[in-house]
Amino acid sequence: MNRHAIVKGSTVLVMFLSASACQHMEPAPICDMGAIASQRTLVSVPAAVPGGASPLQEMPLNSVSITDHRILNKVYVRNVTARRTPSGTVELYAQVINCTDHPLQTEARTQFYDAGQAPAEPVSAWKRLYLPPRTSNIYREFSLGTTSIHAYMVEMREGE
Amino acid sequence: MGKRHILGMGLLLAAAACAPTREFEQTVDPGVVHAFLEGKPSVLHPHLVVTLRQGQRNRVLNDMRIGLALFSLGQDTLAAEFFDNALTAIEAVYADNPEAEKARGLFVREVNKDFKGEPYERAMAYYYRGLLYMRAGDYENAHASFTSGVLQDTMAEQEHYQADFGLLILLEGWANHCHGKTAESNDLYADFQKHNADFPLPAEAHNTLILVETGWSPVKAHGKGKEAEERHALRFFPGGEAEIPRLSLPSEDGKTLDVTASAIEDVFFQASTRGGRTFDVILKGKAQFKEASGAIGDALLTAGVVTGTVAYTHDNQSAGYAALGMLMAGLVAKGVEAAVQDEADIRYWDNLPGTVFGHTAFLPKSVESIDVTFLNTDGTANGRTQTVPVVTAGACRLVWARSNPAVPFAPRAPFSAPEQVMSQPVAIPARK
Amino acid sequence: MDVHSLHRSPGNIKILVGARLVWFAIPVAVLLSGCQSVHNAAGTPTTYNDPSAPPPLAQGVGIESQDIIGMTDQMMRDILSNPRLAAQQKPPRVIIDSEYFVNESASRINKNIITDRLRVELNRAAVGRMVFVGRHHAGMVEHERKIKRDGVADKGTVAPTAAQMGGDYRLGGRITSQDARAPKTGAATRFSQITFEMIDLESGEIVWSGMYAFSKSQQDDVIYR
Repeated sequence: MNRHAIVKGSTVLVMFLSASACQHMEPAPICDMGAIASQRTLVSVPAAVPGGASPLQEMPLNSVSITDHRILNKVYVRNVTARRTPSGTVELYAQVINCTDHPLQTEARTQFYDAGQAPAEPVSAWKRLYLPPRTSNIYREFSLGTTSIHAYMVEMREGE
Repeated sequence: MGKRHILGMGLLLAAAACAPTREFEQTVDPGVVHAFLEGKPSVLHPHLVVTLRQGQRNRVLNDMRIGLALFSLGQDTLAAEFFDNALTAIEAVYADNPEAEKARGLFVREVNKDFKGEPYERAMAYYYRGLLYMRAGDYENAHASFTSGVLQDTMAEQEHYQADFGLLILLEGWANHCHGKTAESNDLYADFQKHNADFPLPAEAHNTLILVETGWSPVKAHGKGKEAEERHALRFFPGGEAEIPRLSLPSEDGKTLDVTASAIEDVFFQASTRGGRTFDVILKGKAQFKEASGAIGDALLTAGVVTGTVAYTHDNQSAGYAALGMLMAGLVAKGVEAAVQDEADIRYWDNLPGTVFGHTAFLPKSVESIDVTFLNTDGTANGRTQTVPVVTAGACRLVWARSNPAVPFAPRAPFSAPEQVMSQPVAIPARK
Repeated sequence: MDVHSLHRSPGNIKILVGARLVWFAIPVAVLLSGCQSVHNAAGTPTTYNDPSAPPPLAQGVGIESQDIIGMTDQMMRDILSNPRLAAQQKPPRVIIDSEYFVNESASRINKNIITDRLRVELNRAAVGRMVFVGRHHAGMVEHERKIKRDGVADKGTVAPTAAQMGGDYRLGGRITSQDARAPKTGAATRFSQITFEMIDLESGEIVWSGMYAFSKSQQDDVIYR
């Protein structure tokens, strides 16, 4: 092996080792905001006049809508579920993940709807959620009504 | 720098030197004045007019002194209103207040800021609000007031003076005692004893708290250096000697027990042990800048005069220009010296007492008043006696007496307006 | 005035300075006299605020409107999800007032603002799932019952009862706080905790509990430190 080949080989090895040393492990959660954004459902919701086009293309029922651009790319709502309580009211849970390396506070409130998608009761008060860096927390809300509740919609914003 | 620029700077500095308009009193519509005076004691009408005219800058100060006057006159509902207003402003956070920001500037005096009082004044506002709650039988909010007052006293520079406002700690304990919370009150009494070992603690059977306020409020003034007054320094002085109250406590069998009340709190001690304020550092910086500007100005003016004289003697035009430049720069520097406002705010709550004395006892329901005799500091009687009512509220009774009038002599609080305004009489405008 | 002509002799420097000083002094005098004019500026007009948001003009570390709305809403929804209280064949009778709701915190507060809101909101939302007893109006009821029975007033349209309604459950609770101060920076933090409990008035059992807690910090401007 001539001297030139040794130098070339060594250079390649050093480059490879350097590249492998640069591999950076991100701790969980890893939030792919592009993928999250593509999952956002665009739905046509019932308009004021039946058959008419709705001006609102987002904020579908039975979901969490992030209405504040300040946290749009910072939090990820992992899932939303609802169930009946023993007293007949509806209890909903939403698992919210703070994707950032900084503490965050969000606020959420829920509007429960009846079978005709009309508001069944007054909207709940804003509830504050504390999210330390890269952690998840649960937003939880109960309805006031029982059998009248068929759907819900959660709005979420940054807590000030 | 051109001469026009120098003159422009001088003009700006001179403009900055004048007291902002908010330090002066404003004209208030007579209709507003009379609506405000409606239903309030006439003895306080001039004070109330001043409150309206001095506005937000002195609102807390005026509310506290009028609140205390109303409390002494037995106008508890009105007094509570005034103290609530004062405490709301005290509790408000001035994080981005434009007037506070201005007061930090070189050319605006500290007195331009909205008054919130020094910690001892804020603590005393909570003390009176707590007494008002006690007189209404609301011992929970009385306790909350006294606790908040103690929290105001945590700003002291030295640790052993932090939260040492014994009067408020004792009253926290008494409020708990009256609310049936013996364990909590005993804890607080133990804490109080760390600050005042001489005061006889309330017994479980005691139902009456007697508070007697004597002496005069601490006085705020500018400091004195070796050669001259240091206007940037805030100093406290005692308001005068406090009389000692002797109480005549009747019992059910017709006998009377004479006891000397014990001192619970020295208000001057609380004022003077706070130590240096954070803002004092800023004021000191302003003072140093002012001093340096003055020295530079003196040097430039002297040099200008000397150069001018030389120029005149030798008929030298260049030297004349140089002299002119130095004189102008000297004037600007002197203008800066005059414009820098380094004096500390010495507005103060002037109808506070100097010392609060107290005693607790069991007084039967039949006792509706007690006699308080005031003694000089050497123990000799000075011939002054008051008969003070015993107010029953809930489980406890309260006696509150005061050796000196709580209605302030002057309608304006000390240093609450520029000197030329302080001496003006306060006229109540005629109804339209 | 020909300024250059004044420069011909150094003796004129004094005149020049004097003239300049006059030029300087007149506007200054005008400015100084202007200091004492009326501060003709508008104040802050009355504005309506969203009570469920922090107040825009004044914020402290104590209990504020958004806390009261938040805590009562949370408790109301929680109570209605409790089967012992909200899913009985025979609706239980509940007393909600401030009689056993104690304030041990450093915040001065009219406790009725919390208990009144909770009772009214709950009564409106319960729609018959619970029956609310107005114990705080007992005096008023007693007076009316007496004048009806004395014949001063007639019997009304509602059938008379042997006595006023007794309660099955009553609200108890406590407001507590823990304060911390940093003397050097003037920063203050208050942790407030408000507990709500529904007590069985026969057995003393606590059949439902709820808690609302928050911590707030503030730091005043340096001119107040």
